[in-house]
Amino acid sequence: MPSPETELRMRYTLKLSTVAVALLLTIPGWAAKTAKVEGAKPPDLELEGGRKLIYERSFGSEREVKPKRGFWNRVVDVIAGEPEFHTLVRPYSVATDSHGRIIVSDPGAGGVHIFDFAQQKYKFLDRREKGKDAMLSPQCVAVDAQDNIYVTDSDTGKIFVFSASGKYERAIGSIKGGEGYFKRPTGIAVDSAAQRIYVTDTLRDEIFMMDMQGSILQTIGKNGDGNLEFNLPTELRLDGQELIVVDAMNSRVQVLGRDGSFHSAIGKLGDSSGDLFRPKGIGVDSEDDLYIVDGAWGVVQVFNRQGDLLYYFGRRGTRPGEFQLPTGIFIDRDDRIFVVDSFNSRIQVFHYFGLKKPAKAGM
Amino acid sequence: MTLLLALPAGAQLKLGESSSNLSGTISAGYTGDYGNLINSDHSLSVGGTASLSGYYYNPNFISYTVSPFMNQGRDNSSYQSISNASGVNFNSSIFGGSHFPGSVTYSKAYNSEGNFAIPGVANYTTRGNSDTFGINWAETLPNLPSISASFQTGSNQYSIYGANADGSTASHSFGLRSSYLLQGFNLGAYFTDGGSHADIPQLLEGSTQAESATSSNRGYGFSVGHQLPMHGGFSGAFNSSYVDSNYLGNSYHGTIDTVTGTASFQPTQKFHYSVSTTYSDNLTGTLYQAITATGGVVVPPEQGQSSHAFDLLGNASYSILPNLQGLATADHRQQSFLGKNYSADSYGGGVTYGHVLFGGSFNSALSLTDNTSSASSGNALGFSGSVNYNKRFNGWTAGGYFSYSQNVETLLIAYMSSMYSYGGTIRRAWGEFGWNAGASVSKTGLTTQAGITSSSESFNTGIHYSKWATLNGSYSKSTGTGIESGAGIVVTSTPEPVLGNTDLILFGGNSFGFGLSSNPVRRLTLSASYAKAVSNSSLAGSASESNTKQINTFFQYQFRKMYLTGGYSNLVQGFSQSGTPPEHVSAFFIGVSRWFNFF
Repeated sequence: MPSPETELRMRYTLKLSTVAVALLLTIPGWAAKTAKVEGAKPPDLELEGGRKLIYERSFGSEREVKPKRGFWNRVVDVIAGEPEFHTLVRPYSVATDSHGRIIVSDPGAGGVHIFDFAQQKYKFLDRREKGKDAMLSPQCVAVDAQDNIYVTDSDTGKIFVFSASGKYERAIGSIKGGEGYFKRPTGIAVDSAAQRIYVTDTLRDEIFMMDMQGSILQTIGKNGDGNLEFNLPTELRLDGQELIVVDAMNSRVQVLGRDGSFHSAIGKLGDSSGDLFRPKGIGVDSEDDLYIVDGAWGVVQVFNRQGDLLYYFGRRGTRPGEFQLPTGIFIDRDDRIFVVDSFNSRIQVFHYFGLKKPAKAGM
Repeated sequence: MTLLLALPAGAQLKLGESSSNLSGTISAGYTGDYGNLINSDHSLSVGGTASLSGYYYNPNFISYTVSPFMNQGRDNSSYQSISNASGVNFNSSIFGGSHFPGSVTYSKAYNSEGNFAIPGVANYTTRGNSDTFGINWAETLPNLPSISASFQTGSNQYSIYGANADGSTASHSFGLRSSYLLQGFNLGAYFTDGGSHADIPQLLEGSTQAESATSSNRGYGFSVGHQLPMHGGFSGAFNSSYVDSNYLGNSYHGTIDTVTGTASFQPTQKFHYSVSTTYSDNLTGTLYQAITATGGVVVPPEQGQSSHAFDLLGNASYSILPNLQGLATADHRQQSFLGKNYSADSYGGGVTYGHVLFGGSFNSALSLTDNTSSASSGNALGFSGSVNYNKRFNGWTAGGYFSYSQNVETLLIAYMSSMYSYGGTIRRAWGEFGWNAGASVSKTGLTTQAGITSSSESFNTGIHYSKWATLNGSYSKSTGTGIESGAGIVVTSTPEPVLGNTDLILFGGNSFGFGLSSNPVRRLTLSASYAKAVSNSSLAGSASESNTKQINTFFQYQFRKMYLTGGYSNLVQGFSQSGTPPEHVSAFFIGVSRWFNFF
């Protein structure tokens, strides 16, 4: 596991050429110089075969959706003050929909932020003060093929479904008396083609496979550290025919089939490069490589499907490219990587330029 | 104003080692007030609030907050005053987190609403000026005696609406305390000095003149404690205080010395016992101090008659089960008061029990005491019992309690008290609709002296629907005996002859009120309330009837950092003994305000 002093060094694995390694060895010194500049953009990561990972930007406020305000808006701003822009408080999970809108769950704010930079629009989904089916602690978020938004609530034990426009549709898991069926639902993934919803119930160490109405079709896993056994599982990600599960307290990621069969496991507890200490979010890029966020170390490690560490980026800190308690991650169809930098109350956006191969988004 | 509007959203202002924040609200609008005893006044008005906070070097070194306010009333802000009040609040702390922490507080309010209390019913409204100042400092160096010092002073001048009567209070106090752990002994010492002055409006007697009452007191004391075997400990203390007071031409000065000692042991986890004793060489002074400590003013006791009190008390408890505990007490008391000697012995036992019952929580306590007193012939059986039960069922949350006690010892052997109380609460929500209700009834009295009783009843209920509407209503009724104070009537159960018949006020009254608040749309707040109280009193054969009624309405709509605010307040208040008709006062406001974050 990298120490804070290692800055933005890249460690190439077998896939990386010696030339690239030589290039990377020059980066710490360069990074040390640029790090003195507050807000300096981190260096691009030049990878094997012309691949590249670059830092694009970060955002954390409704205000950034439409930074330039018109004349009359500015006049009203002077007279009545600026509007109260929503800001990320303690974001946890992120996803994007087919229109490129960025959807962020925020337990600290008690709602879900929808950033639409293309249309310069913003929306905040909030059900804290509803008498029936209030949403108190939105944890993870997923989007289906129709851009409906699914949010797990670890406090009430329910899953809330909103339409693409943000209208509340229904709550899954709401049982008699208003209580939630799930003990602590966290990770969620939606398979629109098969009409399935997968939800992690962290306290039960189980994954529930449900139909779109919320009827439970299958329960996957039990407590333990063997194959198909979990110790406080959290995030989920669907990739092709596989379901990827962050098995948090076993310090690994398990790759399952969509039918719940075991395929493989990646990672082990440790403090060296390639080890996992507090895995949080999981993402998959267009080349099927796995991006695993480690909350404790403040880095994102990238593995191939054989479990080999390819490279990593980030370190603990507050500057661009640095993380404090990062949690969720999402990679869209264009290989834009959205990392939830939770304690810094922001989303950091990176862009991976890989091989020219059709990309796909996780769900 | 133009300059203020042009100010950008600010951030923290740093100047050298100091850092400050300033925010505030500036309001402007049309306001007016009118009534039957005041001139009507309508004008444009400006008001506002501000908060300047900051620190020097580090928040733990020196930090401060200054909050001035101007023309703030319940018709134009959340400040609860029918008159537009102005003033400032200040507090500061120095060396926080060090071994020498200190703090300073100051407040000043002009033309601010206050209360003249009638126990158990809605208070009567006053208007006046007040100020307070306080300073505290401590030394907490390790392995050295700790020292803390405090000084507080305050004053209040007020007039009572509808009474043509003015009053005032002023007080100051100084305290010095120290503690030290030496060879396992917990040592402590203190010194206090204070005084007060009150001009008590004689509105209940029909006089426009205020009577002055002054008192000063000075005290010091020492204490020592140490651990004993069997998880035990002992403590002893000596306290001495000197009282000097004057009221209605009568003066009193005397010294009260009190010695206390306690030893306790817990030989097993389940068994605990203790013995304690108290001796006071001036029971009259102790009783007088207990009355004046509540703020009440009474004719001081006569000088020259010695009095004393001695108490020896033993307690033991045993945990029979985790939820069942047995208690036993034995008490011997000796008193000399008003030339007579009294003695009393009491022996008692009891149990406490708690259990889950029908899915709810049930707790109870029961004790019996056999009292033998030289002040009465024969034994008096003392009894004390209480039960409470809480349960949630089918969406309901309900709870109730009942307690009864008979022949409970008071500070004076010659008197015992009895009381009962009962009440309950219930609430239920149906989706976004909710309802709650509560009731409580209590009565206390002296067993051997008829007429010294106090009783109160109160009932409340409320319904709400989401944020759309909340409606509350309440009713209360009380009767009893009290004494005058600078802030109204203070309940007391101290009987004659400790208090003279010119001290005791018989009072009774009832009040009811209801309020409605609503947030029909985001950023819009509406509220309205109505309250009415009627009370009567009798002091030394002089009867007085009084009533007060208030109507308040308020709305506020927020657009970004601007607020459109409007409100109306109406007060009608009168006292039959005042010789003036009830006073009507109304005030209204409509205007806008803007919140700024200057830096």
